[in-house]
Amino acid sequence: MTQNKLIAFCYLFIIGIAVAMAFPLAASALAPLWLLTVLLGAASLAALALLRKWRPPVESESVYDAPFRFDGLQTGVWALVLVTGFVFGYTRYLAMIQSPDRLIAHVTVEDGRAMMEEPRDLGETGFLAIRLASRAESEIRLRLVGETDALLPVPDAAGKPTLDADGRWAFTQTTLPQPGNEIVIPEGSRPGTVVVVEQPYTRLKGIEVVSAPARARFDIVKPVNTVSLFARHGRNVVPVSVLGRITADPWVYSFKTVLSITPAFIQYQPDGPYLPIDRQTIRVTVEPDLPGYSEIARSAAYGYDVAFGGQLISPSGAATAGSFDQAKYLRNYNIGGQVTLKATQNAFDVIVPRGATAPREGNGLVEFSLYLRDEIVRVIKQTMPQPNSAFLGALTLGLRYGMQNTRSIASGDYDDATVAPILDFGSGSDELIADEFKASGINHVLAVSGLHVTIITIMFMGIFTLLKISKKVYVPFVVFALVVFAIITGARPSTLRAVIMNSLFLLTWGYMGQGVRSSALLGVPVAAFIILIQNPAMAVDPSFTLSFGAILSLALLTQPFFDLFKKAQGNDFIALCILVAVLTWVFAAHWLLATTVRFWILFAVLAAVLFGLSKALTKHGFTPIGNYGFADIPVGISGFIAAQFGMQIGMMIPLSAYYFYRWPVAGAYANLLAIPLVGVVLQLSMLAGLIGLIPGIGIYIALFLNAANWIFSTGFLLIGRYFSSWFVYPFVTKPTLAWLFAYYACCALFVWWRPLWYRHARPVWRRASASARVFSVAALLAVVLLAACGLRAQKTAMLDEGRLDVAVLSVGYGSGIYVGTPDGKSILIDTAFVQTDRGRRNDAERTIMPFLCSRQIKRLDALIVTSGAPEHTAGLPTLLEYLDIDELLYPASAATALERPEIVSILTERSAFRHHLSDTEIPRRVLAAGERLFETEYDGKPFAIEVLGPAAGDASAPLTLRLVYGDASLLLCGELTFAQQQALLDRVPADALAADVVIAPAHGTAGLDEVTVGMPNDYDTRLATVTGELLKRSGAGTVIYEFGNPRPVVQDKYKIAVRLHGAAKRAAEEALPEADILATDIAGSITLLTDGTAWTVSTRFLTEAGDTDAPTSLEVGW
Amino acid sequence: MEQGSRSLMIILCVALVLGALVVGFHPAYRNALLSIAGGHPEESPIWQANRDYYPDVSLPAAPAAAGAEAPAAPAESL
Repeated sequence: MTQNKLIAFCYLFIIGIAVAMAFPLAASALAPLWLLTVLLGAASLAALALLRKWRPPVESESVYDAPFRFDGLQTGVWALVLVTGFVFGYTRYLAMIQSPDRLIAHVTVEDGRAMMEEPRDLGETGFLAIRLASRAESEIRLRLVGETDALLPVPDAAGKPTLDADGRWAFTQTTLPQPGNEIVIPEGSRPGTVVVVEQPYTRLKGIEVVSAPARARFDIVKPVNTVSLFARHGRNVVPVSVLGRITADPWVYSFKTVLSITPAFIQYQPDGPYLPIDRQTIRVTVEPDLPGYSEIARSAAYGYDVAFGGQLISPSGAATAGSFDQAKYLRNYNIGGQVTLKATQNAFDVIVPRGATAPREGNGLVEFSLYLRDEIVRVIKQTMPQPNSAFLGALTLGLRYGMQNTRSIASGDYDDATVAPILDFGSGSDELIADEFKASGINHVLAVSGLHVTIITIMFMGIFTLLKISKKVYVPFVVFALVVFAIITGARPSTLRAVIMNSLFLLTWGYMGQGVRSSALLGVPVAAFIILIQNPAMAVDPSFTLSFGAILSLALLTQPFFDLFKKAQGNDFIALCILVAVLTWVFAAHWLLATTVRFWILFAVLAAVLFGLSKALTKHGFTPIGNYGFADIPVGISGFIAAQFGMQIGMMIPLSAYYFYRWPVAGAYANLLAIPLVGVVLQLSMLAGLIGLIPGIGIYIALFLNAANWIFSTGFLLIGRYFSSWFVYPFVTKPTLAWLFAYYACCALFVWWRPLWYRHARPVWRRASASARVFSVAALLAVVLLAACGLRAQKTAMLDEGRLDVAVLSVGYGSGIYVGTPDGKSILIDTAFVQTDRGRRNDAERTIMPFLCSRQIKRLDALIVTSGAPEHTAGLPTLLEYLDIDELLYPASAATALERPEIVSILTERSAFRHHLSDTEIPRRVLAAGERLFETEYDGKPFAIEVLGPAAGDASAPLTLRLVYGDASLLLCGELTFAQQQALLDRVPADALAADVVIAPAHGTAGLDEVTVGMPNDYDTRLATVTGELLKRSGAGTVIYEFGNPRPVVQDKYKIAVRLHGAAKRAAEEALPEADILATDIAGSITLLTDGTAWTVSTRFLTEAGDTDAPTSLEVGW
Repeated sequence: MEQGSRSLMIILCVALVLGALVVGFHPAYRNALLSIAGGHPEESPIWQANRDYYPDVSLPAAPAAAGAEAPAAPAESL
């Protein structure tokens, strides 16, 4: 029972973290919460001790039929343990996210005079902040007066900072008066408003009030000196100087090195003092042209003390809903800012302590592990050619960044390679191996996890057993090897989980004689607890969640599925196989059919017919395979199939959809081959790596082992290659948290229905009267119905009926606009750009599809392409492949772009018979001026998309559209050149161009095609007379530019494109001085909502920058 | 555990036999074996195929891989 309480404690700890994420309290709650945690912890321990004394543990198996007996003492102790776990988890997470600002002094201002109590000691030098305790009735202006102990490094002869003999940074200290700049707190600021004073103080002496309301109260607090306090957004940021230490192994790519540096001091402005840093690390990207690059681009650099200067940039959040949130990702790994070091701009010095001859090293165990890793890499490099060596490095040592740009074994990259692949697999693929693995669902082998650790554990146990060594002797050695393995592979959450679990298993198995199942049930929560107590933010990190989801799915779902499948015998087994075959065909050949309700109805009918037929044939004695069934398959295979099924249902389908909006459907099949094969490849690779370290003979044995492994690993690469081409890698809508909860509740019922029914429900049911039974069934049905209605209502709420919803997506120098019409139709305008060179950025895949999935949209009523230019059409193949699109609309000028082979191929395929079946054909239509699309009326307000251009017969102009809903309108200019803008002005009546919002023409770079050298002299004039006139004609209150890095699209002209864009924005400001000028490169995605009267504009980054999640809005309607 | 160690032995034996065949018949592996045996592992085609893969990991006696600079003296300006 104590073990069960420990398990429950760990799970409640996790739930506590989850609740703290959803409902965090203020930092001031931390102290009482810690006190409560300690008290509850002490009470729990005491209660457990007393319980052990009064209720000695009894060996008992859980018997389903044993009636449940209430035990007050047990229940009390259970409740205490659970509450302790919950409060501890909640407090731990709060302590991580809330840097408790230390109160320095309360201040009261009365009649222009500040009364401050004796300020508390600041501790260390740092910024201060003012936190309002009362509303600012008028503007407050004041100065904080104090002193600063300015730290400046003691330089060596070369002027570089120095370390003393003990490895501490050497400083000279000067006490300077800090008169303080004037601080302005705007009128109307509410209590709780915090204003950071970006000036360093060591002692606070007093306050000078310049102006203030008759009465005001505020606190002076000292924030913790975190890295993020000094990081800034934007392009032109004042560089900082950093003294710190490399505290993780460098990630060495072929084209850059990434360092994780823990700063000790930061000089936040040139010639300013250095301030100590207490929390967070900096991610530093070093480019190879930096002098002395080779000294830090290696594992040995781990532990070095360094001094460098550069722009400390705050990581950016997700520019579009659903896309990757770098800020959140880095925050989870305790990274507060990023610096990129270039030879032309930055200095970087490795500093040696005084009297030493070499830089300091890091932790001895980590140094040893990294040394071992480099040695194994050396063996791999000598014994395995590319691309298999990159795969082995990632698989065996977790060196995923080594295969970041490694292309498929079937690509042209290896046509002229020094060592060609073992067979010619063609050169038709342009994919990266990592992408093939993702699409085929076998990418998990690159995330060093339970599979790897278990294989390595078994390998070591096998070696020691061969050597006839007792398990009591070798268990500690295997545990040590696992710890080293975890460090070598980067100690990611999945690896840590597996190492902790396997170590617990080894120790309990080796010394306490416990079995695997009980060890797993205990090991999972304990491992989670150990990881989360160190970093609670990991609880929602995909690597953590997927890893634990996988092991829990294996532990809990495998047996129930096995029990279910083994019921299929004889003809039923044949029926089951036919159903699996049909499902496989649909998944492989026609994914869109699998997303329709009609398919699943037909499938259910087919299943009923097949099983009915099976019964009938069996009754008549026709049993061609006798009683053979799932249970007769060798248990290794049948168990493995059940485990795979459990993994897909318990982890891949819900969590892959939640985190990545995709489900690698191929994984269910590819893993049947990949997992057994990876056991061979990993063991051979690890053995070759270790044996290769033996001087003399070792490298020869390693060469022979890896020669064989070349064949096996090629087999693995081919699994990725072919399964990714046979199956689609579909996008799926993101489940909401409520949906996930309902899903896992069903899974829990499936797993535990026996004890729930036999032990709890059935005894009550038997005792209950008939009316009570009816009532309980009715109540159960009501709960299910309510849950279903709730989920349905949640989905309906997303459609926002009655409102026109326009989202201008941040897709770089491309275009992608989502339109949700008032009657619930979903329309996408343009498909963004696809970068195919080293950057390999497909915005249709990484921005547009996740956005649609996050809105639960899997079908478009129309896809409108406004121009044939690549920044509008390049993503078309991606969207055509993954979405069910009712209609493709385009101007005559885009017809040529649609003749690209990959688009023609998809459109032809979508005309096939099976797409008639699923109603997923894509009709096409050319648009011309005068058409009105999607006309409807909602609540008396008409809606339509008016086509303003091109004029009929014009085969060169792009589409120009105007969205009108009630009194609100939006003009979408598309890719109009100056001449086409002028033609539009000449042709279209002024009132037809009127709009509240204008999406400006050609990203604000119209005329770029005509530019040869430099900015044309008459450019501003043309802007004013053409674009300016168009904007004036619209009379818009908001002008939006779809803009981003133009380099991938316009290549060498990117600098001039940026200048033209700047000029266009200035022209817009002159043409419409009252208008808000927004651009997606700065604002992120821009959402426009209207109910037919006024528009509400909200931008992604302004929203993100706010203290709350409420969007920053501005009314632009009339 | 007995089963685990037996599987390991089978994998090892099969791999060594298969590896011997590959080394015997594939020119790249044969040349790699000859280069290592001849004391010039840097001439091995397999090593050369991995030139750009972790260029910081070099052979003990050989200079750092092409493209990477020789290590600077400690504490010198980078």
